[in-house]
Amino acid sequence: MATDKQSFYELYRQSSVGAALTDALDDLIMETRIDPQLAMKILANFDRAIAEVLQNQVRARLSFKGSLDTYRFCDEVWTFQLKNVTFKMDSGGQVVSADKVKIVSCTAKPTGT
Amino acid sequence: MSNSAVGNVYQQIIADVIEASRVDLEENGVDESILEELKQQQHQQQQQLQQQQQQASANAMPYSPAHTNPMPGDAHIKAEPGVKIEPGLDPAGASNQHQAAPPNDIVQQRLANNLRNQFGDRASNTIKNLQAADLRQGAPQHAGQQRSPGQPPTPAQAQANAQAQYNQSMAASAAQHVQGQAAQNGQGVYPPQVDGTAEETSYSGVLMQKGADGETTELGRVEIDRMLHAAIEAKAKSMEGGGLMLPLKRAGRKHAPSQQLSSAGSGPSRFDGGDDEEDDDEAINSDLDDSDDNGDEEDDDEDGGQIMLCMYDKVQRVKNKWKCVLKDGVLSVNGKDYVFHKATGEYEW
Repeated sequence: MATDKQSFYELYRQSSVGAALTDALDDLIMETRIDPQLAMKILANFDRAIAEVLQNQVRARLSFKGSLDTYRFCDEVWTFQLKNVTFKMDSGGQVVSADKVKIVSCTAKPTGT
Repeated sequence: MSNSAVGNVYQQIIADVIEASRVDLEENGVDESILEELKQQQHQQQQQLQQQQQQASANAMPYSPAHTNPMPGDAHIKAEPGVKIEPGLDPAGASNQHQAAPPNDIVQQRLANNLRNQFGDRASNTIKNLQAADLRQGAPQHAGQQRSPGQPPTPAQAQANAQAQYNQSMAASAAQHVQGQAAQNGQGVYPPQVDGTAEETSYSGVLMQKGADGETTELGRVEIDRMLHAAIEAKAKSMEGGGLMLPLKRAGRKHAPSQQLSSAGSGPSRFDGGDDEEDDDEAINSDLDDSDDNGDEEDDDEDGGQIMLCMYDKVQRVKNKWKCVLKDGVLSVNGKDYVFHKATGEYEW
C-alpha cells in the first residue's frame, strides 16, 4: 500500500515502543557506536513500520466518551485534552477509564488507503 | 482492540524496523550485530517501562504515571551531576577555605622560588615577608582583605618598610592574597579595586632585578602582572579541579569569579564570563521560549503517558458536541498500551 517515497508521521515516536527505540538509539549514539544520521534513518524506518503495521495488522475497534477540556487544530493536527474518559473495547466489552487523556491526531488523508 | 494484541504488534514493528534498517547499517559500515543489541535493548526498555507503568497503576495514584517515561538510564544521568559536584566549588565559603589552603602554599612557594631565582640573597627578606604575610593571612582570613597593602601592621612587615625597594613586591603579594580571598569568597568585585588603590599610591618602580654584573633593573608593571597572573592562574586551575563535571549552572556561576581573577589584567575574557550569564537571565526571547516549552512539557508530563496517538478521518462539531473518527492509533492509558484500527469518540466541551 504505502509507497517507498511516502513520508510518514513521526508522531508515533512518542509512543512507548517509539520511546524505547529512541532511548536505545540514544545509548548507542552516546557510546559512539552509531552516527546520529543512522539513528535518524532507523527512526524513519520505525515511522514507516509502525504506520504499516497499525494499518494492516490491527483490526481492533474502540469507542470512547468523555468531556473535552481543550481542543486545538494546528497544521492539520488535532490535539484534544479529554477528561473523565471511558474507553470501550469492542471485543470483550472491556472498559477502561481515565481521568485525563491527551489525543494527538494527524490527518489520515495524505497517507491514504 | 485489546491489550494482548499489543505484544505481537510491537514485536512486528521491531522486526520491521530491524529488517528495514539492515541496508542502512550496511551502507554505514556498522556491524549488524548492533541490530540484535538494539532489539534487545528496546525490548528490555519496553519491559521496564511496562513494569514501571504497571507499578504505577498498581499504586492507584492517578498522577503517578507522570514518571513512566523516564528510562532507568535517565535516572542515572540525572543523578550524576549531584554526585560529581566538586566540594571546593561549592558556593558556601566554608568548604572553599579548606580547599584554598594548599593552593596558597603553592603560590607562595612559587613566588618565593621566583624571587630567589631572580634576586638571589636580596630576595630573602621579601620571602620572609611573604611567609609572614601568609601566616598572618592563614589565621584571620578576612582581616587581610580590609588591610590596605601600604599599611603593614605586623613586625615582620615593618622590616619590609625599611626597604623601599621591596615594598611593592610585598604589596603585590598582599594584593595577591587579597585577590585569592576574593576568589574564595566569590567576590569578584575586589580585585579591580585593589589594582586601583595600588595605582593611586603611585608606585612605579616595583621590583628590582639584579643582573649578573650587579646592576639593578626595574621590573615593569607588566612583568609583575605576568607573575601575578601566572600564580593566580595556577590557583584558579587548582580550584577548578577539572570542573567539567559540574552542572552547567553551578560551574558557570562559580567560574565567573575565578575567570575574572585569572584574567585580572585582560578585560575581554572577564566580560565573556559576565555576559553569558546576563544573556541567560535577561534575554527576552529565551524567557518567552522557556515558559512556552515548559508549559508544553508540563502538559505531557501531566498526562503521564495517558496519550493517544492516531490519525483522524473525521472531526465534527455541533455546538459543544464533538464527534470524531480516528484510526490507526496507539493508546496508552493507566500503564497499558492498546492499539486500534478504528475508534470513534464522542465528547462534550
